[in-house]
Amino acid sequence: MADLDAGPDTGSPALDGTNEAAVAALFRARYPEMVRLANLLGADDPEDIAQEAFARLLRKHGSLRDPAAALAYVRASVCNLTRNRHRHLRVVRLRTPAGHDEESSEQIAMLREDHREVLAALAELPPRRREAIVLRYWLDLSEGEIAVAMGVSPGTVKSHVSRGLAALAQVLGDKA
Amino acid sequence: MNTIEDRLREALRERAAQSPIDPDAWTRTVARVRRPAKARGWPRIVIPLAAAAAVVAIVVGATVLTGGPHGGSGATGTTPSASPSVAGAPAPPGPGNYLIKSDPPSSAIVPIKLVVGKQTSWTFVWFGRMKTDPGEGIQLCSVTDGGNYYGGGVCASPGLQAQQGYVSGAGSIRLIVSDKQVTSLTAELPNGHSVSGVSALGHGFPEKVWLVNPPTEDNATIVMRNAAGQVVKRLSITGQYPAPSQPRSGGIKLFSYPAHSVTTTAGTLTAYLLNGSLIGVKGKVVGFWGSDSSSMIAGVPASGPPAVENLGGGWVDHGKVAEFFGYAHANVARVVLRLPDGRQYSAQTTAGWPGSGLRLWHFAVPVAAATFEARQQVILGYGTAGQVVFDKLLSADY
Repeated sequence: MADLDAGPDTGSPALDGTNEAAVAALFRARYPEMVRLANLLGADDPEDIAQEAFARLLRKHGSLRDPAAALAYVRASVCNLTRNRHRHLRVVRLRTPAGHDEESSEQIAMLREDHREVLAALAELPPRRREAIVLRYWLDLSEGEIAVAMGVSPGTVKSHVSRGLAALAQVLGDKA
Repeated sequence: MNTIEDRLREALRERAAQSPIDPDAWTRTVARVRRPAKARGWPRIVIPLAAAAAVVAIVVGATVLTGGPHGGSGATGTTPSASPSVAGAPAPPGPGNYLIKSDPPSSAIVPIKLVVGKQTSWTFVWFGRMKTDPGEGIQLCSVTDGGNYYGGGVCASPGLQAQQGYVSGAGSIRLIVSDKQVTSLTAELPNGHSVSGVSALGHGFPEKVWLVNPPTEDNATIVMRNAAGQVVKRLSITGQYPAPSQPRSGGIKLFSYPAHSVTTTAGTLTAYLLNGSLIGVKGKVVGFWGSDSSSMIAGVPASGPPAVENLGGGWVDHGKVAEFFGYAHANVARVVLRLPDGRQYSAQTTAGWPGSGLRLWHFAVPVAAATFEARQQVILGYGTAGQVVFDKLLSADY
């Protein structure tokens, strides 16, 4: 398995032509998908997350034991970075009165009513469950792939998905 | 496949399709890697800034930060000396500033003068990374002094900075980053008015930084245009109540916390009883300040429900413990966190402010336990006779 440690990077530039070309190809193919993943995970700045994930890959690509695992590395980085951002946000943000919504009204208006309800319910799930649900039902990843992206066991993924679905069903069930 | 799964797929697909994609994303990604990763001493820089704008007046500033006497390879251990060339400019934050220490600059520190009404403030802006957690990514930092600001600041991701901003009675200073192709930025207000922003581009800035000061409580749409006047990006920001400054008195030191629990650095958490009008709430509210000036303020009157309020439970990367803390009403003698596996963490409440009818509490929980299904964790309040007087599932938002 590739080195999927998405922890702090040293910041040391590690670009060479081979790395950059390989990562550039992956970037062309997958960057929009990673932005969308960060968006669905609730990142405040999805492009910032996706760019940082690819930047980490650029720095570490040469040390990946299995270059074919680069996509899994980026996906895991997006998950970790988004999760970290949420934690950081929790620490620095001032508690504001209820009803404070960071999502733009434009975006909300553009969503179908039904989809808005689903996404609102999804946003209420604990972060790990939300991750598992998004990876499963948007990216159609297998339990094994989700486990790698989230850094947990496949059994935990199964638990997150089933409990997440149950929670969604409870919230949305009456409206189904 | 059931209905919920169908609805999920459709909703996710629709929402995903709404993610804007920056055409210059690759260039920006590569720039992150090629950017100097850490400050190499204190740079010697002169920073030109954009011209003054309609509402926010900006005075072109120049900061000269000379290399420290030690000439080391990092910010630590160097002693910057500042020679602002703009009359009246205060000294930039020095090496002792908590944000300079936590997020050492990898760019110039750019001073920007803001004049709103009769209030003058200076905002110092730089890019850096959290010393203790560089994996958080590039941080946009700012410290503002003068006017209604008292040297407070924050380091956060550029996107978070735009949403959070500094807030005071004079408005909310928003820091927004953009491509260098963006030549104008305005905050469009619900009443049809707009406020122009000003840009700053200093040495080592990966992106252009804009400051704009829309009215504090107004939602606004930030509109960025290129030289041809074409809109290249829109960003919605939500209005905020002013963030109260940490009171100078009346605090009750609640507990000391280790690094990576309440904040990245170790410190002491202090509780204050505040006038709720500061955040748009009737009555008194309880707020907690960490040693790094981060604050957590309950959004509900302390005299009303809930009888037990928890404002903790978070942690920072790689943290080992989560500190749970909050206040409780006078009839609550003990607060307990009960996990679904039966484990419990608890603390006796202690007296709060005389005459307030409030008590305070805190306890630490290993992160491994705190991550246990937030919705199945229960906060209980026990009276002096041991009876349960309050119980509530923890919300998912902590």
